[in-house]
Amino acid sequence: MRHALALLGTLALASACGTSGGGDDSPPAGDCAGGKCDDADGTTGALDDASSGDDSAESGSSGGGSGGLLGLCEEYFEVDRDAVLAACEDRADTAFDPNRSSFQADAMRWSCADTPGRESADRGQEYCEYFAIVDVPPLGASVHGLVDGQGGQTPPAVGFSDEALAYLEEDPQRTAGACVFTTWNSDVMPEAVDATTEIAGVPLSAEIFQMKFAVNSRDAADLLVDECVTCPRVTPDADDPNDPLHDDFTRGCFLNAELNETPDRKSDSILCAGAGRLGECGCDLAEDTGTTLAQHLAVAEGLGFPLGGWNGRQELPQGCRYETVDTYRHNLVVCDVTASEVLANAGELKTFCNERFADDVVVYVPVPGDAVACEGGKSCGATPWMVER
Amino acid sequence: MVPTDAASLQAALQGHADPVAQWILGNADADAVVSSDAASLVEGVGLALDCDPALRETYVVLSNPLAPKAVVAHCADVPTDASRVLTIFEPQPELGDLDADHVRMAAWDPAAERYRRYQFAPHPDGGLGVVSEPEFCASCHTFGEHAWTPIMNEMTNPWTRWHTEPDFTSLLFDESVADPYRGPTWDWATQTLASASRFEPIIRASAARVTEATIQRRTEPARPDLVEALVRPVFCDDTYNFASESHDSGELDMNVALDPMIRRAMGFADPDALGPWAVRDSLKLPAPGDEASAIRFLAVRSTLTVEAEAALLSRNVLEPMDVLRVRALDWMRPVGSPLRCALYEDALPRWQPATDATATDAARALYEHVMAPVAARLDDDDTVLAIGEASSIAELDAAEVLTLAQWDGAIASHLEGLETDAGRSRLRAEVQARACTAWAVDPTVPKIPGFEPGRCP
Repeated sequence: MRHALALLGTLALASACGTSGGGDDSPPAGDCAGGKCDDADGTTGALDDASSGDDSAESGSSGGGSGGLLGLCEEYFEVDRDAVLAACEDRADTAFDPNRSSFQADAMRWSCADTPGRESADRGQEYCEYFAIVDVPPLGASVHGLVDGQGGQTPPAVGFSDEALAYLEEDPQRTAGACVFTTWNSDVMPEAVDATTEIAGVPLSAEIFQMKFAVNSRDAADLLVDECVTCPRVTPDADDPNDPLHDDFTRGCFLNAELNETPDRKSDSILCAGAGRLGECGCDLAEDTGTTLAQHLAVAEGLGFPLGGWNGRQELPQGCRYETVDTYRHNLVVCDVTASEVLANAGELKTFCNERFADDVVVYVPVPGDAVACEGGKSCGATPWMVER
Repeated sequence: MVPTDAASLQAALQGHADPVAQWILGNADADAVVSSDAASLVEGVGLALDCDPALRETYVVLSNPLAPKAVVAHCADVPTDASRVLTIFEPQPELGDLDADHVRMAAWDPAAERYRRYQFAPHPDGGLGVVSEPEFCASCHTFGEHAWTPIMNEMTNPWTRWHTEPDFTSLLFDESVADPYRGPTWDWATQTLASASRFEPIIRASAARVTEATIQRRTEPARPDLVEALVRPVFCDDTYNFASESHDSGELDMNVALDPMIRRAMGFADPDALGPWAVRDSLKLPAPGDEASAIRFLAVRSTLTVEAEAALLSRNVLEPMDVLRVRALDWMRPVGSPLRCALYEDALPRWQPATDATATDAARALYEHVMAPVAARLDDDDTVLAIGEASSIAELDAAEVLTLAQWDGAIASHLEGLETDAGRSRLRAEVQARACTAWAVDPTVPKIPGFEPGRCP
């Protein structure tokens, strides 16, 4: 019954998407934007026929991810087991970093920073995109490293006229720009976007501040959680105590790889591990709220996953602040950049944003612990989404 | 000796425009007693900075020898504001506490564009007096041609030997080492104890102040000391930072393997030449088997030096290829290259700035003078003379001319090789080698596990 409800919830959401905004023109959930998908190596490749599960094993690339054209749990990719296990081990190192643990009693979380090796124009794959703004009065405000979701981006570098240089040098400690982090889903449009609000000299707009990758969407999040709660996963070898799939995290990460071919993403791996445990432990919302557990985790009522810091859901890194979009307070984080920093990093501002702030700007997936009821099991515990090792 | 009358104090602070000097002059009595105690001093300066007391933070490090030192910052939520004044409490084991009688402060003087240093000490009449710009501070905080700068040995996660709770799990910060120093001053100072991860941006802001002050003098007439202050950091490392593996994760800051200016300059010169390594900020080594195998305090190029070079690039004193041609020499050794520094020191005695030149023009000329042996081997504007490891100018003969794309490939292979068990062993050996180089020029080298100064050449 729970699985049927989940499936109905997904279908209902798919049809509702057009009215909540952004859905009519968005690619179907799970498809790869611009025909490009991640493969296990973290590079992009062209999209093959979405039904060619066999081909993907040979080409090592793409596939549309499950659910695009097929039903939930109907398409599993053939994956290189060893490569996926190695990738999952890297993801586990991140998720269980004692300094930045991903599984909390009331949330799952990860940083906005991309996993190592992602090309500049592909940065922003963790349900969080980021870019830089330079605001120098002689030049005006300019946006750098803003992706278009199709493999392009605005120039990451900025050059300066003598006049701009003089302005920046006049007071090197003045704020001259910003790194912007956004979790505003690509398929969600709020009631109102106040264009009179300026962020580092740039008027607030969906064109600039909304996420662009189709995978950074409410639809994708909802589908991912649904899949990971619902879909059967490979079972570990009961006769081999050393089988890595005995590990709860690895099992969920592996499932994500089979369903979406994205073991290189922190977000997908962590969400699937936590959601997978919810599924294994027979969890659902304790009361009928009209939404499914998956929809609830995917922030059905919000603009996107809320942003925070490692020290707390609303404790941002030094020099950073929230900016509001309509009534949503926690989906835009703006971190000030001084004139000195702009000058020092003019050739690669987006990299600067990644290195200086992205590791400390954290995407939260709130888990309403009190609202979740689980059938349980010996290994489940009271909070099964708090995956442990 | 602390001044004991107002006139002496006035004379000592003549021309000081920093906030600490202003506060001292406004609060000292006729006998030059500045404050009754350290707490009043720190709190008073904080109010003078217009900082909310609730935003004062204290950071603790196990300094050399392993004993806790506390650093206090005001307005800690905004790193550039916090970098205006820093207060230091040293450990005092015989007191069983931090030393409240010998507090130090560093304060940015916006008029002089440098840090002023103050040592507060017991006044003969009771309370605290102050000594301005004591010499002993300079020995640890002045490096080569760099002006006095606040320092933080390890400026990347895991900030080894710093207290990093609650944000992060501390590494090699032994609480039991700090226990003997916990008295009233410790209790007062650490009521605002915060993670050292929050101190890092403040130190970066401090370094930015010093760097900006130096680079903005490039339009002045050329004087040898000014020109050398601009150019020497490109070739010689007089100050070091350090990086450690994050606990037992195998994750290690990329700067241990590759100078960060390579990526920055290549991004300007030819972004298409940059391979996937350019977007990575860390190496991923196989996990260490035990603590003895872990990489702790591996020397890297200091933030101060890197930013000094980046400033030359952003102000067009040097072109991206100029930077890359230096970095390509002994490129597998990102810090403390005997080759790069030998080129500079060999050429310097034979150089004089042209009459009526600006510091910019003279810096450019000095660079070209130093790099003449390299330039003689290059015919194309877009090539470098690259050699992975070399210790002397004579070894330049073995260097090869590479395009940026070719060098990029070599870099990728090198980094791949380091992310292996053999690579870990190599980096472990580098801890000793680089510590020796750093130890020879930088007295602030931390106490490095396993480092044996007796084995240094």
